[in-house]
Amino acid sequence: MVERPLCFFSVVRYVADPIRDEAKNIGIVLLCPEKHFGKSKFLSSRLYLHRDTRKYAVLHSIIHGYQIELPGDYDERLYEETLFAPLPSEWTRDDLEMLYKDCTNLLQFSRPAAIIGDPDTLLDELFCKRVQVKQSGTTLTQPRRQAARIFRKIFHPYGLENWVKEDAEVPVRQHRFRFDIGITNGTLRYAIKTLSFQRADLQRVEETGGYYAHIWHIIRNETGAKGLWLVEPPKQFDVSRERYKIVTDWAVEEGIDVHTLEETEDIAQKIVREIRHSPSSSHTMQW
Amino acid sequence: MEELITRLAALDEQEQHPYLQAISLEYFGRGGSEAWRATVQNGDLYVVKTQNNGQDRNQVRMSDEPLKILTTEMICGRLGQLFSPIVCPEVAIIDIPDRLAEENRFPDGRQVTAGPSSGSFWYSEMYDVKDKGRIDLVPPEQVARIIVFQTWLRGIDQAALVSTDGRKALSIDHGYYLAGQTQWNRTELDHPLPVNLVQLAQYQQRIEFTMFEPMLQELNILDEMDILKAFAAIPAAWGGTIDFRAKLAYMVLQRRATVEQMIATIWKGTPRW
Repeated sequence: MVERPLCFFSVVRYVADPIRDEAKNIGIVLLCPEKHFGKSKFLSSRLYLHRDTRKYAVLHSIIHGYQIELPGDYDERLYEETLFAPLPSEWTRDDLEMLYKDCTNLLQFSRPAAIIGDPDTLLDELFCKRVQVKQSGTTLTQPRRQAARIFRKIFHPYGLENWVKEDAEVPVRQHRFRFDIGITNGTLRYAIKTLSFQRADLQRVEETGGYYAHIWHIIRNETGAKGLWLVEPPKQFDVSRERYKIVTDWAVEEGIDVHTLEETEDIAQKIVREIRHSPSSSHTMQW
Repeated sequence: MEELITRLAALDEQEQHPYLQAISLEYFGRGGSEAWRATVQNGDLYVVKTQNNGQDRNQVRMSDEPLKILTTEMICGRLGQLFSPIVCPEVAIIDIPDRLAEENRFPDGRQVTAGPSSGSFWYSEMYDVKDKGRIDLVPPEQVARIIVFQTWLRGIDQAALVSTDGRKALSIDHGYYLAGQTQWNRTELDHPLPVNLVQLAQYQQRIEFTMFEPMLQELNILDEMDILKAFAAIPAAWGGTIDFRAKLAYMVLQRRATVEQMIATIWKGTPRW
């Protein structure tokens, strides 16, 4: 197995007023000494600073003081995406440590952390998770975690756990649909949605269910995948039970298989058997 | 006991909990166990306690005893997954590669120990409870679940994660549970009873006895084999013997039978808090 490179990163924070000490994450700097890699990625819109302001000039001089070069002849796009570029490729973790300890003013750096992986990919992922403003509705749901864990456990003995992709993105035409779990080896076999009718905000669960039932024929026609819902039924026999039935009926009418979350293990067993016996799996299982 | 040892040994052979591989560590450092925040390969985050965490490294252990904090965290975390919904965050054994360990040091300068560590899933929108206000928003039914769970497993130094909207709570920090706090307590291990009620002193809402019933029912019908599985496949690097883990399992099974009776006796039909 090829050993993946060791990288180091810091989150860059902008503190407009160091007395108030309200930091905003504005960028990531990431080094990979063994690859002579040094790059950063910034969301400069979070600075709320224009190039021709005095504060920007102060920031520029601070950055220059720490030997991080601002881009010289940058075009507008580069200015949008980066503030520091490129970082000196000979930098090591010690340089990040120095920034962490010394920069206590408008710009601050988090304590450098080690991370293993492809530096370009890591930079994008860290930027996405720690700098970009969070979108609503991306919180991991517990049923999804529970189901994904069971699928991996069942798939693991056959070396198929990599087929289980959480938060799977399914591009169809110009849209990108997201499912809680995708069973895929490049070709989507199952698109799985988990829904809990034990949540307090049933209205939202109902709307989500309605949406996924509504779009399913598009996904099925484009990908040939099978649709599966794993649902947590309501605990009480009250009005929520009725709503549960309405929503799951929508799914069934659209050709989506509906099972309870408790049946996940059996379903996973069934799917793994299906994959192992399908003629195409032998070609794709190796990776 | 002999039968438990045999069954546990067989489970050790069968159970293969896949280790998750850490790709990054960041010092988190709250509390005596000096936890880290680890990112694993699929991007999920875990609160991780390493083998040389602040509490386990100072233990004086007998030869049959595994690391107290890591082992207890893992067993209690697995047991918490047997309930629906789960009572505590998902736990996993997180492998820390040598290269990552070499680059990470505790504030006192000692290097992180590589190898299997104990991980508890990090929920980005849940916070550990430090103040009365936040736990007081949690519905009493959920608090009742946590009380049953912690009472069963001889909870001490109780802590919980509470969601930002106050609707959900999960039990966390189980390192001091089962038998003893930072060291194994052989007397407690040899004497599963009495079962003493855990109290969340900062919770002010009324909890009726009926609120305990669903969780008590769940506890009573848990499959013995599922409970036993929680004690299997503990990493060899954490030490200890199968016999010792069988004793722990025996203790937990014995306590289960008494939790309901104890809660019913104490409540005596009157709500507390």
